Amino acid sequence: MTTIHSASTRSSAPGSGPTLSRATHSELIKLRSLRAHVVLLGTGALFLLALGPIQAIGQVLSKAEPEPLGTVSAAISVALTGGTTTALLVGVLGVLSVTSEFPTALIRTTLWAVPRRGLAVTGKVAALLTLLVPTIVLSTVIALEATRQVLARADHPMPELSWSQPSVWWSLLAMMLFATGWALLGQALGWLLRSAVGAAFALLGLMFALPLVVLALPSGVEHRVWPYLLSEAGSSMMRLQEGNPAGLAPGPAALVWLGWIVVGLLLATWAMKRRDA
Amino acid sequence: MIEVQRLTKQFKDTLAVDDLTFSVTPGLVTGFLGPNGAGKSTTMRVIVGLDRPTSGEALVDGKSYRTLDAPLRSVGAMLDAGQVHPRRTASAHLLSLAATIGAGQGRVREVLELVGLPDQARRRVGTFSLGMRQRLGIAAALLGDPSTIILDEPMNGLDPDGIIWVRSLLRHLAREGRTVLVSSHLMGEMAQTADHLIVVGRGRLVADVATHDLLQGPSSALRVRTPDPLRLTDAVTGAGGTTDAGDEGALLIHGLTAGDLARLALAHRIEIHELVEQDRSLEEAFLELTNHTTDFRAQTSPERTVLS
Repeated sequence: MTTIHSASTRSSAPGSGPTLSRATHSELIKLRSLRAHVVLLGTGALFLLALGPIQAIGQVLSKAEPEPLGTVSAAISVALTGGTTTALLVGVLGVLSVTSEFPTALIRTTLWAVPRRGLAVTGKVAALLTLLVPTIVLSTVIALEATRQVLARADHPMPELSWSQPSVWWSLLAMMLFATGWALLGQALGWLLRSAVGAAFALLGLMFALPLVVLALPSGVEHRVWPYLLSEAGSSMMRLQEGNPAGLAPGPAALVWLGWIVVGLLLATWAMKRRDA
Repeated sequence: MIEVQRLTKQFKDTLAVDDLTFSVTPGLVTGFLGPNGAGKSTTMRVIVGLDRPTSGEALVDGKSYRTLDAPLRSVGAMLDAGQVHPRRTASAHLLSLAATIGAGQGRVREVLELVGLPDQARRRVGTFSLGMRQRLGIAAALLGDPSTIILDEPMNGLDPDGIIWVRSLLRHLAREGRTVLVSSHLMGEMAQTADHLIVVGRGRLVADVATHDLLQGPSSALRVRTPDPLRLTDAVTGAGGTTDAGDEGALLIHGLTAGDLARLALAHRIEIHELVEQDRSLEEAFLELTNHTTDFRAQTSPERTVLS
C-alpha cells in the first residue's frame, strides 16, 4: 500500500510524456479492446475478400454470355464487389472509434493523458491506419487472387486477370485509399459532431445526399463542382475504365479524395482545440 | 504546486467560476469544498486543460497543463469515476493510459494492487460498483507517479473501509511531498482528512484557511452541565461571555476559555458536572461561510468573507 513509486521515477524528464508513437499505441489498445470495433473490422474484411470471388463464381457458372466481363477493369470491379459495403463498415468503425468516448466522458481521461489536441487526433488516425491498412490490403489481395483463379477456370473466354497488369495494382491502392478514406472521414465527423448517430448520418449524407443536392444546382455550376464531390472523387479513383468520359482521371481523383480527408481531419483538430471537453 | 490566478469561466448563461485565486502547496492535503454548482469541478477541469478559461489562468508547477512535457507524470487526476468505457476491462483501460507515458503491464499491475483491485483486472468496468470505479479512477491517477494529484469526490460511493483507505492514502501521498487537491461535499470527512481548506461558493473564494483555524473559529463553544443554569448564566454574562441552550439541558458558552469558566464556577461556588470544549463542526463553519452564497436567486451583493 505504500509502494507508490517503484518502477517509474518521480521526475517529469523530457521524453517521458506522450509522443506520436505512444499516443498511437494507446489508441491501438483502445481499438482492440472493444468487441464492437473488432467485429466491424472483421466483417468489413470478410465482405471484401468473399463477395468478389462469390460474384465471380456466379458469373462463371451462369450459362448466359457474361457480357459485363468484357474488360480487365470489369473483372476487377467484380473482384471488389464487396468494397462499398466494406467502406461503409469501416466508416462506422471510424465514427465509433471517436464517438464511443463521448457518452462515457472517457474523452476527458484521454485528453488528460494526451492534452495536445492535435496529438490526440493524430494518435487515433495512426492507430486506425495501423489496423486498417494491412487488413484492407490483405483482403483485397485475397479477393483479386481468388477472383483470378475462378475466372481462369471458366469454360467460356474470360478476360485474364493477372498481377502483371498495372491496373490490378492500382485497384489495390485505390481500394485501400477508399476504405481508409471512409474510416478517417468517419473519425473527423466523430470529432466534429461527438455523436455516433449524428456522425454516421453526416458521413452517409456526404457520400449519398450531397450529390443529389449538387444535381439540383444550375447545370453550369453543377458540371464544375461535380467531379470534386467526395463520392465522385471516390468512384473516379476506383474506376479503371480506359478513357473515362466524365470526371477526373484516377490519379487526380485520388488527390481530391485525400484532400477531403485532410480537410476533415484539420477541421476536427481545430474544433477540438477550441472546445471544452 | 497548483496556482489558480484570477480564474473566470463563463458558460453560455452561467458564470461558473468568478475571479478565483488560490494556490495549493505541496506536502498538504488540501480540501476543495463548496455546495453543488459552486464551480469546484469546473476549476479542476480548467487545471487539467479540459476547459479553457474565459480569463485568468491555472498553472501546474508554473506551466499551463497543455504545455507540460509529461502530463500524466506531473498531474494525476480523477475528475469523475465514470470516465471509462463500460465494455473495456480494467486492465485494458489502464494499459491504454500507461502507453502514453511508455509504461506497461507491470505498472498497471502495481497500481491495481495499490488500490486493492488486483483480481479485477480482466473484468469489464461496466460490472464494477461505484466504489470499485472510484478505486480504478484513483489507480489511473497514480499511474504516472505524479507530483500533483487532483481527485474530484474520491470518497463518493466508498464503504467505510474505503473511506479510511482513501484518507490514509491521501495523507501518505502528501507526506511524500506531493500536492494533493481533493474536492468533497462530505465535510466531516474533509475535517479529518484535509490540512487546508479552500471553500468556494458561486464560483468565488469564500475561505482559504487551515482546517484547524476554521474549526476553532468564533462559534466554537464550551458545553457545560450544571444543576444551577440560571446562576451560571448570570455569572457568565457578568464575565463578558454569552450562553445558549445546548441539547439535553446543557449550556453552550461562548467567549470564555475552559479555564476562565472553571475559575468563574469556583468563585461563585456553582456545581459543574461536565465541561467540554466543543469545536464547531465543519458543517456549521461551512454553512456560516456559505450562507451568503448558496442561494442563487436572492442576493447579488459581491461581499465575500475571507478567513485566514
